Amino acid sequence: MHPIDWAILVGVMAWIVYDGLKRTKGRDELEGYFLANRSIPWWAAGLSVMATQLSAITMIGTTGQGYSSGMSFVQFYFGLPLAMVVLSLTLVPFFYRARVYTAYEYLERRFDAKTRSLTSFLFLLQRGLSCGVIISAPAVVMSIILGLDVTTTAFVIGVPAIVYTVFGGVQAVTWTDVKIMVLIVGGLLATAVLLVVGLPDTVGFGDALHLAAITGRLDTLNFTFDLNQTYTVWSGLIGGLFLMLGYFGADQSQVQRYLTAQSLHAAKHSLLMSAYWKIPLQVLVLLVGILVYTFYIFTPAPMLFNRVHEERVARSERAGEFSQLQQRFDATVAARRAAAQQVVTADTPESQAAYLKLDADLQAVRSEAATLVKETSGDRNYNDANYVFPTFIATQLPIGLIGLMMVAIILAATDSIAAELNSLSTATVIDFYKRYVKTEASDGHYLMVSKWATAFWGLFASIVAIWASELGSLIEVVNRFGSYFYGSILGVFILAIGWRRANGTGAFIGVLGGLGLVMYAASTGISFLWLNLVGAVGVFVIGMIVSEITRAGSGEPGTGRREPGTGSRA
Amino acid sequence: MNEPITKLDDEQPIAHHYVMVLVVEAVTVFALWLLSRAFL
Repeated sequence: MHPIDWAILVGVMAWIVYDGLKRTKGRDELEGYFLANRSIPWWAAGLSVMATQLSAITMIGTTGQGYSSGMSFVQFYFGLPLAMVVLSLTLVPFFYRARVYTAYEYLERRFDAKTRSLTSFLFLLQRGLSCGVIISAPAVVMSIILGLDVTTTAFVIGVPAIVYTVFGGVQAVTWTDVKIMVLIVGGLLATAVLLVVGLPDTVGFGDALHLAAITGRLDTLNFTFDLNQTYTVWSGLIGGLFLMLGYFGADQSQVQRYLTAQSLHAAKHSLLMSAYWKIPLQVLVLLVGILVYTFYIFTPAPMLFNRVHEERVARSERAGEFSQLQQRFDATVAARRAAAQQVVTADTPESQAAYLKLDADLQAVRSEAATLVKETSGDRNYNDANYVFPTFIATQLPIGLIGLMMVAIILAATDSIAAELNSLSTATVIDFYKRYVKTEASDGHYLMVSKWATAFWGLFASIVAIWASELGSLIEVVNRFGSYFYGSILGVFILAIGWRRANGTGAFIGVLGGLGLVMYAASTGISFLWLNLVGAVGVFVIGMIVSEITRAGSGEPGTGRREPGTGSRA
Repeated sequence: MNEPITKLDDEQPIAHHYVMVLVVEAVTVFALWLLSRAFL
């Protein structure tokens, strides 16, 4: 990168940390540190909700997905708007009026301490480990692009988040989220414009989209009802609905964003911002990926976007094979460019068929090159698509915008980590330390413990991130295992609100039973989006049955649920 | 700092947003379908 881009990268990072540290209002009290004294305007809480969800993995992986497969991934989000409406009508008013710090605190008021502790523990386990992955996945990619080693890159991503979250609390997290969202969306829009401007004079925006469309990249809707297919309209609408209900309604990292809002009305509005804008934002991210594909039809592209791997293979004993692939690649690229021009000037079924054949040939060569990388480097999880967008930024954008987009990707990871650390610390202190270790102490004491807890989780995430590449498939297993929890945690909240006669024993056994059902369902090979539905329904049904049995056994009458705010408060 | 939530304006109508969210999603999905057809 040019020194100007490095200066922009370092300058923006420093400004974000400095600005986060300046946010001192109310952070000497526990409610100020964790909930900003419920003073955040709806639009800032809404942007924070969106920023937390949009990590660097989205910037790198989703653009890569747009580049290689097109728009179909957007179906994953079809359940989100509906989930936001359901949450605004159900859980959000419960949480907000109960004046809780954590979502799980509400479960003790409704059920008992063991149900609260179990769900909070599952959250800590899942989020603590995923924090490491949120750092390590982009660190691996960005280290190649920036020419740094993975550990240094992981620290560049993680340390700013730890610093401003420890000292600035949720205020710092929220207001840096706002700035980072503006930077990311502005950067993506500027990149989209430059991608269109960068097309040859003879190729218009419509022509580029036509080339993308004939390869199927603009095909969005798949109405096939197949439980084993990941992205269909039905898996997005039904499975995605339950995933989003679990993520936004029962995951503390999201719940805490809207609990900072200055009123219940503002909290609902902050969620509705995602309901309105999440799908269009994902369309923009995927469209940028698709435009990168069309850009590289007419501009020479590398055979592999990870230049370090490419150079390593070129120096290995299989360099001859690689060189032959490179020659095939160069010839196919030239032929495909000519075929694309032919489609633009004379669009016929024959010209389209010729283009599609050469496009498939090119993918085949790239696939062979990627296999060569996997065999030579031992990196079995290598996915070239993850390097497409960062490489495009580093090699094709003008000086200045390179620095801005690089820092946008890094900060996308940083702000997600910051929100996670803040929520992990909240759950640790409120659901465990204040509940079991020291139930009565001053705000100053809890504040000090909270800062240490934030630093602890930051350190934990960094260690997981540094070791993640060596743990390899184990991390993948842990991450997948974590995604099994959402439906079950959501199920216990549905039980709490939806079944008046449910009791603590029913809820506790329901969560364990629901987790078991999800594990079984996962082993049958159905797509992970459906596991959320299995978990939620499983917990609800098991919890309901166990509640009725234990209630009948103890002769307990149906007393109905306790209203929030009337039970004990940890 | 822990003032009661006097600013709570829960009674403000928000139901029209729920309808609008679903309408906007339907329009967006239709636009995506149209996009895939329009450039074929």
